[in-house]
Amino acid sequence: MSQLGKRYRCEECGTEILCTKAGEGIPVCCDKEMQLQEPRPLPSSD
Amino acid sequence: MSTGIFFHYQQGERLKDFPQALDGILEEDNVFFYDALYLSKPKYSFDLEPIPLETLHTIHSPGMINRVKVTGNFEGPLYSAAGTLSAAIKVWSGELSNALVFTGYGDHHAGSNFFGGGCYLNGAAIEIHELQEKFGAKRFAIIDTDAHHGDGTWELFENDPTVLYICFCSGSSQEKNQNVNVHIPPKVRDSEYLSLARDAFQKWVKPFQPEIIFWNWGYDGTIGEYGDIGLTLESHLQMTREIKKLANEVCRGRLIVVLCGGSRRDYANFLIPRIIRILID
Repeated sequence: MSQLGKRYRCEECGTEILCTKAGEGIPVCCDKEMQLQEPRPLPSSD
Repeated sequence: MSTGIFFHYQQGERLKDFPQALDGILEEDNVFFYDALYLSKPKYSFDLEPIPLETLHTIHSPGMINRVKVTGNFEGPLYSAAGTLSAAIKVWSGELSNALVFTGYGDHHAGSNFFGGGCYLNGAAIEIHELQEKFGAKRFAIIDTDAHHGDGTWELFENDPTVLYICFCSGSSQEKNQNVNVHIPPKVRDSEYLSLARDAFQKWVKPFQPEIIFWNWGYDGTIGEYGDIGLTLESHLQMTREIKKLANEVCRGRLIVVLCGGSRRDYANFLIPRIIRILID
């Protein structure tokens, strides 16, 4: 299932997309599933 | 009408459900999402670019910046302030009508040479300086509804007549050079709180005619929070409607909502999407 607000990248052509509505599938580009980009969270005060 | 959401991923508890909790919002045509940071992308590839040191020094002393760095909490506040700065520029230029900024650290306890209470850099002050210097903006309002007094913001603007700072907190009522403290009782009903706010907007904000409004929004005064003054969740939504209406009346809707105090994850999940909805509508 795709993840809302997350970014996906095509390893073949470099296309990057933002998921604005989550669904059952995984985005596909250049005939391959796009890779979920890993965030780098920063510390916060809470 | 277009609304910007400025978001950087954080390690803390309260925003753990974001951005997923923005379900139904990101798909709106008039919503723009600016996010950071990702392992695969360089720091400078985001809309939330780190603020250069020389810009920080226009507000904070070099000695203070060094002391902030020593705490190990520099990058988080830097990106929190960067979100506010980016939002301010986009709203000022007309690219966005209004914005909400997710921050990991607050603004209002950070002064020219001191910091505390989870605030290390004063994002609102930095962005006001940038709008003055680079865009010729002249009048600003900061509305502070975090439950605690914003000693840093007060100090930074107490001699600056171009910035109207209204702080709603438990401190005594006072007024100095467009810095206004509105006393809020230790326990208050929503209706009384909103009435005090409406009166303050009428008395100070409307005559001042700011060109842009920054709202330091904290939900720490909500029942069950660490700064509990008796406010309900609904009060924050009412306040959003009031401030949005005010911004429409005085500054063509230019409003930037900056997340400040509050620690509960369930409250963040309830309030933030609803506040964004009000900004969008």
